[in-house]
Amino acid sequence: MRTYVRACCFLCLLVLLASASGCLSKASAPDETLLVPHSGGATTVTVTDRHAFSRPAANLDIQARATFSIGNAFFNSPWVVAPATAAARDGLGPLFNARSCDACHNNDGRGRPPEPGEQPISLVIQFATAAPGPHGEPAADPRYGANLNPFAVAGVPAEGSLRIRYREIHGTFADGEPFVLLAPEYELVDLAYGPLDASTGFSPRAAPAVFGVGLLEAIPEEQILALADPNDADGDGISGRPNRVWNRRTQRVELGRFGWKANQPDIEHQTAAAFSSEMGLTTSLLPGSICTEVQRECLAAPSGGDPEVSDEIFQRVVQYQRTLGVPARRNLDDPMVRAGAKLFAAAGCPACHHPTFVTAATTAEPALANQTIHPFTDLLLHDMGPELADTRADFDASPSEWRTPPLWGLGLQKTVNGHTRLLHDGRARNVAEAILWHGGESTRAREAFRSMSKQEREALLKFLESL
Amino acid sequence: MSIRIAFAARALLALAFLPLVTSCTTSSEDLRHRVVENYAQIVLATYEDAIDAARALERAVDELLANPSEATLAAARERWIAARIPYGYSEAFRFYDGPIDDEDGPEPRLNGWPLDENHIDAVRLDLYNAAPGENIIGNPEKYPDITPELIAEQNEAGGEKNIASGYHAIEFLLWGQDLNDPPDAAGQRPYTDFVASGPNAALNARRGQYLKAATTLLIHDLESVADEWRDPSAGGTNYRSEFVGGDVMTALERMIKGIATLAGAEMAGERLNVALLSSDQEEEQSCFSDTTSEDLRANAAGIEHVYYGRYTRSNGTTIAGPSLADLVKAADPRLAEEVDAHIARTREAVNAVRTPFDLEIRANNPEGNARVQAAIDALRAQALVFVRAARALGISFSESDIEDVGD
Repeated sequence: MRTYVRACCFLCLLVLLASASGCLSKASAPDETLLVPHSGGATTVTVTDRHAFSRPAANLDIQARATFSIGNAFFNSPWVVAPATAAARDGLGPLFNARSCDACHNNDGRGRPPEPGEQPISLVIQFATAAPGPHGEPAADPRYGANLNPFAVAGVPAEGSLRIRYREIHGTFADGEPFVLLAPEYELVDLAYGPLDASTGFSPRAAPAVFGVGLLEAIPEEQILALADPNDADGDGISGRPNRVWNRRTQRVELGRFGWKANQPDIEHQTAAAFSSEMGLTTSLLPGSICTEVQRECLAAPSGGDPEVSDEIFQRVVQYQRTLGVPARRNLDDPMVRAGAKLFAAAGCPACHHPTFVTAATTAEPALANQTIHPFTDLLLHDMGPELADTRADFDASPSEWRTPPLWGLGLQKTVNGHTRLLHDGRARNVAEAILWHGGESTRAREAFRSMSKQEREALLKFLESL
Repeated sequence: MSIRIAFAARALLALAFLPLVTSCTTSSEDLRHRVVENYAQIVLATYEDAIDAARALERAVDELLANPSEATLAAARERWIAARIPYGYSEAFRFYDGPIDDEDGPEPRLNGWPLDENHIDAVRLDLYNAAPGENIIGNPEKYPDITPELIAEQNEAGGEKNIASGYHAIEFLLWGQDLNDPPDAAGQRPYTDFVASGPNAALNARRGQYLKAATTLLIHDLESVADEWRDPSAGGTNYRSEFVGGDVMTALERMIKGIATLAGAEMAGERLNVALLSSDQEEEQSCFSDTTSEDLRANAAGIEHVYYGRYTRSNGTTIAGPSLADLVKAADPRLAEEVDAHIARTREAVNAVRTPFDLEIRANNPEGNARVQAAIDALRAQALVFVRAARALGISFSESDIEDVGD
């Protein structure tokens, strides 16, 4: 823990020095790699309605489309309590956060924190004790497991409820315009199985969008590692570290790519983890029960099979996510968008929100191979400062380090999901607030935004909306 | 009816001059408008037939609850099967964010699946005895009055998809769980489950209340959709007025998108391919009654009603008028023949799928599997030919636009 703090202070110092030297503007014409219409290469779909994240990749062949639609059925439909007549779809819980993948990843998009009086569905509170597991993974709370399950099947007590209070943080842009950020404070109430372990900390995590993950999985590891600069050797104030995580299939430590902390090596692991800890459904990859030793009613409830999600269904749900298309950019000829692209580059955003990769020449799904893609992420961990941090380390990721989230589809989130909440816990109410929450090694980029004129800020936001 | 006959006559007249009028923009525009208007008539008539059939079901439910017996239960089941048919036709009007399945549309409440049986009624207490009475029917403290409002609220409670209402909830209450293995019969609920006297009087009465309330809610939801397709009151607007009075190409696009998506993504994909490949015998939409094959035939017929602009109502009268088929024929006669052939092949393949559906999809039934596969292939090809037909009419959408059922 102490080493993280020291590293963070060192970085802050670097950032201060860097911003003092005032090396912000670089380009005078917009970088065209920031303005490519087909964010997902040949997979790109041109849909701008609420189904914009839900289309099969445009270049899928007919067989792959059939598989896609099967996976879609299982991604969207609710799982039911066992024993049910639809036996392939039973086994929900006994403890759970949601009954379907779609409940959290609504329309394959992004989750949000609950409104006052609402129980969280697409925001999960994960638990971790102070001592990590054998591979560096967060260790579950002995009584409550990996995360808070606010719902349960009949006859089993739900674990508890969440209360969120927001503290207002007031600030001003350099031109004097004020802004207000909301800092969330969490409280667990009505805990049904006694107190959490004394060392358990909790970490909110909003459901990320699931489209485009197949392309991110298909980026050759060398391209990601080439961007890593753990000791900031190039002195740009941006480090970028790969997370190294445990792969249960290969039984090896591998590059992490998915999750807010890049703590999952591939879509299979991410999907199995969500089935397990958020829906209480077992898979071959994670066959263990969701119930802890003290949850006796949970242990006594019937199973929906072993595993509850058959391998065939599991693979189709994975393949479905893998082959979702990425929506095309919009308004790229708008002068505001083009001006915004310049500002995005000048503020240093592309250092982490890396625009371009080329996927591997051979991939399990041929439609994903050899695609030039523009996800605006480097899939690396960056120190984002103490304001966003909690107490949870995750494999190599420190509590203040986060994986750069992809920005593709950002401008369609409101249409698809009806909200513009962003960041790992959904605290940012819009894109501007998300930028203003950037700290740590991204402080310089945030300050560049804060120092822009109103017109420049609007141009930058227009650019981000074109994603 | 006379108005409709006059309308049909006008349409025939228009058709007679089709080769002449296609060169004239205003006339072909006019024909397209009449295709859209005829469609709107068929949509409304179909929903009205669905409502009539649901009312007949409600009367049979009333009879069952007033006088529970083998005969009244059997009659209610028959009325349920009959009520599914016009609703099955109406599924050809889905998938374009219309009144049935726009963001606030009642489709999930009418036809949601799979049903959360355990949330409604006690099931298999020999397997699971942790929570007798924790379901809606069994818990009068938590759910004192079983009303349509309660069921609507419990369906997808808290933004969640726990299905507790609609056709399949009624089906579950009429048939009971189908846990038969091998699947040689449908659910076997005894009529005594509705006898509101004797040892289980209170529970059985509540089961009856649930059945009645779910049926009432179903009718209410169908009415709300039909209202959007009625001629609005003077000066008012509704979905129909916007659909018929708005951009004609948008309306045509929706019509084709609906039938192409139903054929491809929904029927070939979610309903048949998923069932065939999931290796589960009850992976069928109407799993309690084992009538999924009938659902398929009604869906396929609904697609034909839309494409040919012709629907014979439950009362025997026929609505017929200018159709998508006419427009495609005018634009590309050879393509129109191809569409005809695909529709005929689909009809044949779907008719060949046997009832009960759960036997057809069993792993040890290669002939049944082959029949289902043939239906999948025919439906998928039909969806693709609809996409080409749309292009012939100047509507551009790609295969990927119809290969997703919404979310």
